[in-house]
Amino acid sequence: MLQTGFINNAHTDLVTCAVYDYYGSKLATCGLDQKISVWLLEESRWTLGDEWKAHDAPVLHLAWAHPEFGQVIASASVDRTVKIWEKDKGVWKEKAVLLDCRATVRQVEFSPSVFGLRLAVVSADGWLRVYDCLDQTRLDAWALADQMEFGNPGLDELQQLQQVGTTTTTTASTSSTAGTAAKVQVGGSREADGGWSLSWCKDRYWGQLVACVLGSSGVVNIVQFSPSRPPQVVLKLEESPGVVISTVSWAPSCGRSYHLIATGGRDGHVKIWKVDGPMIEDEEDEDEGGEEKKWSAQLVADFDDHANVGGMTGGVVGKVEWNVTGTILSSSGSDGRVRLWKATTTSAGRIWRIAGSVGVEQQKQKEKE
Amino acid sequence: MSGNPNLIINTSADFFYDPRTQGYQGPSQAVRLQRACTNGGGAISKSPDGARCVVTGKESLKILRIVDPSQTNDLEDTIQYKTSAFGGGSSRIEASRNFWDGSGLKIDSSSTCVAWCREEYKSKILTSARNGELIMWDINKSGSKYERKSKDHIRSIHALSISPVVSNYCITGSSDGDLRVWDLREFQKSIMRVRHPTGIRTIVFSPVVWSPLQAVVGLENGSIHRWDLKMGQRGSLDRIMVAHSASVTSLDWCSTSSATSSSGVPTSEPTGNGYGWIVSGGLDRCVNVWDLTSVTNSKSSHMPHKPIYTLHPSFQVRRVLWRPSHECEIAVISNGEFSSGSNPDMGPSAGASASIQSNQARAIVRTSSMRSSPKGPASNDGGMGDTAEIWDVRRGWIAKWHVNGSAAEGGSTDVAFGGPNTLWTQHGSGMFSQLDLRDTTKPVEAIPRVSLTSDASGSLTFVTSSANRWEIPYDDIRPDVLKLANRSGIKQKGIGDPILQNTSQITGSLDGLEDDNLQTFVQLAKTYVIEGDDRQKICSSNAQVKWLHKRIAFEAGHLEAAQIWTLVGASLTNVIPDPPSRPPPKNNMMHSVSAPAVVSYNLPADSRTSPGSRSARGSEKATSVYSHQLYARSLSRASGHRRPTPSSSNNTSPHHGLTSLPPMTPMTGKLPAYLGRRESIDSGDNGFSSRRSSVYRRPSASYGASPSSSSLKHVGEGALDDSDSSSSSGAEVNNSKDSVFDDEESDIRKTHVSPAIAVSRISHPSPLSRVAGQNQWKGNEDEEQDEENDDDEDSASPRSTDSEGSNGVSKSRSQSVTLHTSASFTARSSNSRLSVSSSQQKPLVRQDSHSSIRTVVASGDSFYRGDHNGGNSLKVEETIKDLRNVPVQQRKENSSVPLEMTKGQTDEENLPSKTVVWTQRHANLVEEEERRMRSIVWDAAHQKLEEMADNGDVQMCAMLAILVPKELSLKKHQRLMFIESYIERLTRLQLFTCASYIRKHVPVEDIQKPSLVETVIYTACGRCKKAFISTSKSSITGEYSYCTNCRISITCSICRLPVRGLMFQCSVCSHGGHQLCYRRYYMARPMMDVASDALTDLTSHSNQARGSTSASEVSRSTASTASTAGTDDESTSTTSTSVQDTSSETGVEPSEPTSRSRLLGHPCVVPLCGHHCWIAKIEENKET
Repeated sequence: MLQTGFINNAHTDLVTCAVYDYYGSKLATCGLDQKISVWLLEESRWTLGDEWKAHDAPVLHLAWAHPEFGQVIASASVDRTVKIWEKDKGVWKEKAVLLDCRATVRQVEFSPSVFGLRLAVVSADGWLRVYDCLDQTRLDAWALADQMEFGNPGLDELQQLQQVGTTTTTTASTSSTAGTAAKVQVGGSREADGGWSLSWCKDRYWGQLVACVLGSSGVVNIVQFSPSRPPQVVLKLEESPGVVISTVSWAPSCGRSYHLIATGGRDGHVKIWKVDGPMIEDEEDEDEGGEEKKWSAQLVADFDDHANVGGMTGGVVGKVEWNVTGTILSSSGSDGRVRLWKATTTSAGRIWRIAGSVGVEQQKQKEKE
Repeated sequence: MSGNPNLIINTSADFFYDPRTQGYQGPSQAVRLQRACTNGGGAISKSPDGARCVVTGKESLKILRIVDPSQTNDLEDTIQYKTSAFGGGSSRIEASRNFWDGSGLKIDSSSTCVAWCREEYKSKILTSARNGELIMWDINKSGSKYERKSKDHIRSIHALSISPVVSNYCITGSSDGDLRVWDLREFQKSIMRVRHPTGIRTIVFSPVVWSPLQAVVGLENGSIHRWDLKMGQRGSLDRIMVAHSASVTSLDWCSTSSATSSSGVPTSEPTGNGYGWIVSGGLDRCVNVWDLTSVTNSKSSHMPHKPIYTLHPSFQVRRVLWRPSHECEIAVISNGEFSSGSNPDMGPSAGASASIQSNQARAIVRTSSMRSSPKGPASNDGGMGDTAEIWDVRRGWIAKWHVNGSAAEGGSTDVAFGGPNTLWTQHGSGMFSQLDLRDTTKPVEAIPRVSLTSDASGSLTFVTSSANRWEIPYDDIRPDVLKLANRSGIKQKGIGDPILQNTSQITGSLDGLEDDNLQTFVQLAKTYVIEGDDRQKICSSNAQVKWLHKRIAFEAGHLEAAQIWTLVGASLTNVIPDPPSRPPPKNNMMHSVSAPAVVSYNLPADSRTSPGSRSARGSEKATSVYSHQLYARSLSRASGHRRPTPSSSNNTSPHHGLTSLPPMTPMTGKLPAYLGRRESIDSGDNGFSSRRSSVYRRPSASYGASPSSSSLKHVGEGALDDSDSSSSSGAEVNNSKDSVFDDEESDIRKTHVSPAIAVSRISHPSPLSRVAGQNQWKGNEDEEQDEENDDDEDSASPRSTDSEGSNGVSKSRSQSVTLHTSASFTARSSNSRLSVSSSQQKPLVRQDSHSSIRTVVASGDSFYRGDHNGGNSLKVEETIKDLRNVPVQQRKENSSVPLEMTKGQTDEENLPSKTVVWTQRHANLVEEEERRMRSIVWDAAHQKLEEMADNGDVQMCAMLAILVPKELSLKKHQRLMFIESYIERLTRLQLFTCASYIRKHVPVEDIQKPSLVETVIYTACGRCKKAFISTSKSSITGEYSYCTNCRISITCSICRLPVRGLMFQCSVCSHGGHQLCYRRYYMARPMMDVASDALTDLTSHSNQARGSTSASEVSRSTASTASTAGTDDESTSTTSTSVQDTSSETGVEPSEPTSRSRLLGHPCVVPLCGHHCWIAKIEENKET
């Protein structure tokens, strides 16, 4: 039966991220209060293990490294830094600070452990950066191995709009029917309007792949990293341009010959893409060298359940996440619900359907009881 | 915010508003003026009339006038404005000449702070200088010189404040630690000096009308002092030593609830707010708000030493300011090193610049950032400072607004509120801006509010948010409906309100999304067998495992998996044993794959007969016919037409009877129907004990036809056995459970056979359930062996020796088929009954399982005999039995609804099959058929594999990939992917022993690699716990028998010989010795009752040492405590198995307080020790 456990007052303000470690026995959370908390599962309750002030600004995202590297957490913050933390002799210590980002760091994720201790970072300056740990025993030396910029037309427009509002040159406002045209441009910041997310491909057979979204272009870029050549965008997932994608998650393939990538957008849509691509072949499998597969993607599911909030549209999807086998997708949106999606095999192929949802109101009631 | 969310939701649209869009709708007031000041920024002070301000910086002092187009221009200024700039909304800034030019002042008189004097001095401006000078300017003076200059401070003046109440008083604070009070009327000398221990960074004059001569001072060491200036040095009112942990850089004092800032117009009457509120900002990235409302005029009344609110900006604070007409709101300006806007060489500055890190990291990070080409949006922001922020005191972790445009040109160096909705900022590049505070962004919008994470066990932790649009601090009430809102119970926000509680988010975790699956997964992971060289047997035993676990967790998916196992196992069976030179399964597979025509099974088999070199196979090929029939049936049904029989002789064979049966392919949707049918057959068999015996008699019936001279007595024996077992099935529930304990030792011993089994037992909470769990699949076959052994003992036929021999063989191959004495069988079978009864099954179904188990054992035996002994007819018959029963009887377990079927049909089915056995002789036909069938089966299996991969059944996929990769034509990387993802899943579930078991037995380099490297055993002396340090490189075997620390060699407590390797040791009494000795000793001795008084301390010990209930952690901890060598988990998993058993029991012990239980223990070997090294808890009343 489903069991629910709550963490109350995990942080004094909003919680921005919660991440399980590799085994699921620890939970790291971070929040606006600039702290990172590590929770331990004791008798099926989460109890606070460690808590420390990590950054000088809200912490936005956390990632655990594979346990073979020790207890290592990377944290991304509004203060434009990524910090590497390690539990060392019972105390979480700051091991490194990565300073390259020129804007809020939005998401960090460690690569699969077969590629070593690598960290991918997206920040609001529009860059995807990948760091390599040079000294895994000390964790203090990180080199920027690769980086890639993603042009962001949406962002430029926004900046122009802002410029209009504040420029010193008298742009003779032609439509100067004051009150409407010259009204102050009220927009979100580019961070609030864009989406920044990344997700590593969990398998090694296709090479080092990252699916990432930067900015408001609404395109998911699949970037391949390789030691021998600069990073390459091998595929773009683009269904409805202009709709900002806020989150992306790459499903563990578990031996499947294809990939599943889920995205969640500001239009409240959850989408699942089936992505196919050529493997990095082993030496002895030359027999199919002739038919080189191309990267291709196909939209297999599109749900807008999160778009409706209280009878109104406008809901956004905040996060999508796959389960460990890549068979159940969970999504969470501004409608306050966590929805689960699952595929069923029918005569017409595999069809994704909703498998349930958890709502906040429901939870609150349970809490009272 | 009110505590009634419903009300807010209903009326929020009426009461709340977004001041950016729904407030004042006029044109944008934003306007910028370049070079209002010299590079490096400067200070601002607003004029008393509010329309002008003075901007001063390095060698610059200008008066700026901000013209609002909506206001009428009353340009009565005597100042001439030379330059001007227009904003988009036609607001205008006009700037005067630079008063500094020609003033004759040197650069060391550069302004640090500026104040525009009030009332009768409203044309006077005071600037303070780095060299300690205080300079007075008169804007109306036509000349180029300043008016007066005075110097009392010996070091730089940091702060300057004019009393908002008494217009002729001015105070200055300097880095020499002096606060000086000046009277503008006599400007030559300061009239008072108050000393401080360190330099003054900021100062604020009291705006409190009834007590104007007070000042609050912020010091470089983070202290805040409040002074009564009438008393001078003795007038200390408050001293907060650690108001900030770094320098206090800014103070602002608002005296009334209407939040007039010190720069605003003070009210003339004392209000209920006492001394109001003070906000202080510091370099410690904190903004503190101090509540002085309870402070009175009496000297004993102190301000509280703890701030009522603390805000946490992400930067060091330069300036804090109360926002006029917006209670609760504070503007906060960063102290970041500002760069010079258009000058990119100065690079970006960030709060991050202050972060500390190791030198090495910094070096590398720096070099790497050099590589990055500064272009794109990042360079567009070149010279971005920190944004000016407006905070709400109730929300201390995120600003309410980010003011757009304030970060440009190096960020703000000083700000002043032009009005409630305009902010004047001086930028680092020298630019001056009036910013419209409607042009702001909500930083909270960029904050992710939801999060999800899932782990390998299927639990999901979520953070969901039901954000209210009008949540704090955005609960601005529309001014025109304020009264209405008050009546509705919505209180207007105000300073002093409680801080935000995070109620919009729920953080929680959902467990058990895949709970049932997980349990089965774990159990299967622990019981699946992959090692050994007889793949068919592995498959069938795994199928058994599957079936038995299916009973525990009824899952539709596991049914399919078990069918796959059975199918694969059956397909692997070579109908005709290959010549020894040829590896059995591979060749056949290759044939069938390579010959595409084989797939078209409709063609007569005769056309494709293989070179008939193996025609004379004896009676064994009869079984192949049978298996062909099985698959033929499935295929014919699946394809919709009947398969022609391959040979004429088959026409008389049971094919007719059999083809009437439904297909057996588990891949088709017709599966349930088929199952129902099969069930019915077997219920026909087993519904009555007589029927069951008939099934069992089948082999013996074929005996009659066999040329061998084995006795018919066997038939009778078989029947007798059945009656025995059926009678025992009635009585078995009543069987004594005492035998459980008697048998336990032998059970424990048995578990050493296979590591997988041993692992599975860790999770069982008590020894009884452990035994029962084990017997679920062991006891059944025990019973079947029981029957066999009864046969053997009674009949004394040659078969008995054979079966024993084969048992011995299988045991040596880590199969769990072991030989038992008949005394223990009844006990075990009763155990199994116990466990089964929990799943509420009828005895009938249980009998089914027995028979299915029996088939496995028989198949294993027969296979061996077939291999080793060749054409012994006795074994052949058992093979027949196997093939009959494996597919048939296993399927019937699925549905619990027994269907009736006529007995005649089953007999008809059974009887002809016997004839077939001894009549079909065309081996090549058989082989051909076999090949065809197999290719079809493998195709189907491959399809199924992909479906399972789709469904995420990693376990099954990996198992198939391990055992039958070639048959499934899996490519190397496909196989690897399955196995690796399975291993990863196991690892994530912390089933390390299972994972290492896979790694050990899968002969693929990529998988074994991780286990082959870095497997280090760290050794330590059992006595002193100090590590053994290997001194010599030579491989002396006895190196670890002597501890250099203790200077003593460690001897075994049992055999009194030195221990030269790993050692078992009790962690409490430190006695120990050879593992083998201990194992033998404890296995040979029953556990003894432990006195109850010993319970407490012993259990407490065991809890301490082994408090974790997680299986893997138990094994880890015991591995390190129980043996002298704390080793890698994987490497000791086998050696510490015996320890794990007990430790898991003791570890789980406290969790079952309700059931009455007995403690049994193994006393220590050492004579006078009196210590129980192992204690287990035995549940007494498990049966009831």
